[in-house]
Amino acid sequence: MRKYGVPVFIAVVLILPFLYLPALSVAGTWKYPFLLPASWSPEHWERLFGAHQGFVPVVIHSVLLSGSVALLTTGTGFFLGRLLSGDAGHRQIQAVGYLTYAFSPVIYAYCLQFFFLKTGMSGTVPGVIIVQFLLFFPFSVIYFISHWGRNMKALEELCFTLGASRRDAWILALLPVSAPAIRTAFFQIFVFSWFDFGLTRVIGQGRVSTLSLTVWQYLAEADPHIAAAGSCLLLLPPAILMLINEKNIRFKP
Amino acid sequence: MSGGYRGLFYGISLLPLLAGTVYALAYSLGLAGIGAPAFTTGYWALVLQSPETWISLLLSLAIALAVVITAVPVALLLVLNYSEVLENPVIRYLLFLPVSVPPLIAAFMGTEWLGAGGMTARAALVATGGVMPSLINNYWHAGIFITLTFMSIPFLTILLWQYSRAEKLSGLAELATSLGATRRQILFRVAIPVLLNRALPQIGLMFVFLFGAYEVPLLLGMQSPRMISVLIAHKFSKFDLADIPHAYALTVLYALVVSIIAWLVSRTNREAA
Repeated sequence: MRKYGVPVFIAVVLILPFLYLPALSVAGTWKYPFLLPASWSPEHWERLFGAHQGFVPVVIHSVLLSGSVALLTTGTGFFLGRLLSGDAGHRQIQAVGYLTYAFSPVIYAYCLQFFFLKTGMSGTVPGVIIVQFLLFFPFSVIYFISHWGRNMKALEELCFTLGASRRDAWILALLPVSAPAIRTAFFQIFVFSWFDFGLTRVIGQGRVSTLSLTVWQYLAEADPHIAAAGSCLLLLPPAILMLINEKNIRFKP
Repeated sequence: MSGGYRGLFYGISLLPLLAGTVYALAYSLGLAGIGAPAFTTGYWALVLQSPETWISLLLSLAIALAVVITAVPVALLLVLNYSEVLENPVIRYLLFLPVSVPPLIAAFMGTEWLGAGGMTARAALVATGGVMPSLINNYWHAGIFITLTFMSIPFLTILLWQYSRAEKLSGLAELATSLGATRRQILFRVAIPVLLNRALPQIGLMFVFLFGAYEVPLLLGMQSPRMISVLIAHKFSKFDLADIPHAYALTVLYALVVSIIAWLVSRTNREAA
């Protein structure tokens, strides 16, 4: 039991703030210095989904946008990762990947803003999809380079040895074996995009609305209750993702 | 053959960044942009002479360093001392859940918990009857430091835990014991060096990421000094066009610092070798 004390304490401290979000979203009045709200009420959720706010379209829009980015980035990463898996220049490829991976997205967006303005893509959904694709693409390629390692090569050769055609090898062996890796990468990139704030804010120019930006708007308007309700929705996909496969996940630090 | 594909990879991942940085450099030298005044080093002179630039860079480096120095030992403690507990999937899920929280929401939680009327202040009032000072917009940037540390601990714990399994740390410890090592020696001469050595590239990346943190200092920081991402974004979003060349000069400076750190990190990466 003693062994559990410290990790449980740390887990609780780390999680406590996040139990707070759902609580805040259904709290009525919650004045200083009370530790619990005086009343509970669904009014903030009703306000969030109130027709005049147009919140449902924003959620659908966010899902479609992140889904497109994830599809595009996973697809290109999957094939380019295969083509590059035997490449001798791993070290440089990884270094480039690290550079974009850790580069502050908002500064990256400002760096590219000129080109998006020039091509008329600034403030458009395709513009936001492209800028997110550019930033997440190295992650996807590096992820799939390690997936297409020696084992996959051996599997493919085995298929050919056993008389499979190229098509059979892909459909019956390579794709099914790759399915879990593809799923992980897809959700991972979906979550990167789902959380993105800086890129969408700068390249979207306020004309592309996502859930993250909407939550930010509520925060800026000092409306914490409704921001908390929005945050709960924002946290839903990653929490489910963590539950599905917690072991294979790499989140941004 | 694969040289072409490598070119494609660099073209997509590096070219936009490079082009953006070159454009930023050109703009900051008066060679591009609306009403570009022809070549001048004036903007750079101003940026390099401004204490704001150096304070912001140093502040960002200091906060990133402080967070790494705090979070790494906590994660090491959890992984090395409580490895059996981490085998429990429920505990692991609880511990890892905060990793899936975006910086925007972490910053929001920071405002709700660390402010003068926040939950921590309320708890302090109940427990001690004393009034706690606000930790946000705080001179010591305590709110930013605490929030970023909270975000980093779970991430590092997952990472080190995965590495401790990949490096078969328990086997190494057994071997060291049979060779006559004490517990202390195993900890300081085997376990910690093995883990840190393996995790160094990732810790370096985390440092760069923290260095460029945006959402958390945006919500929790003071107006001045600002962390570098917030300072740059602020200069870009002001309506004063005269500030844009300065913003671009700062962007080039930021890219330079990040490139240097990323280069150092890639050198330490033995996985890629």
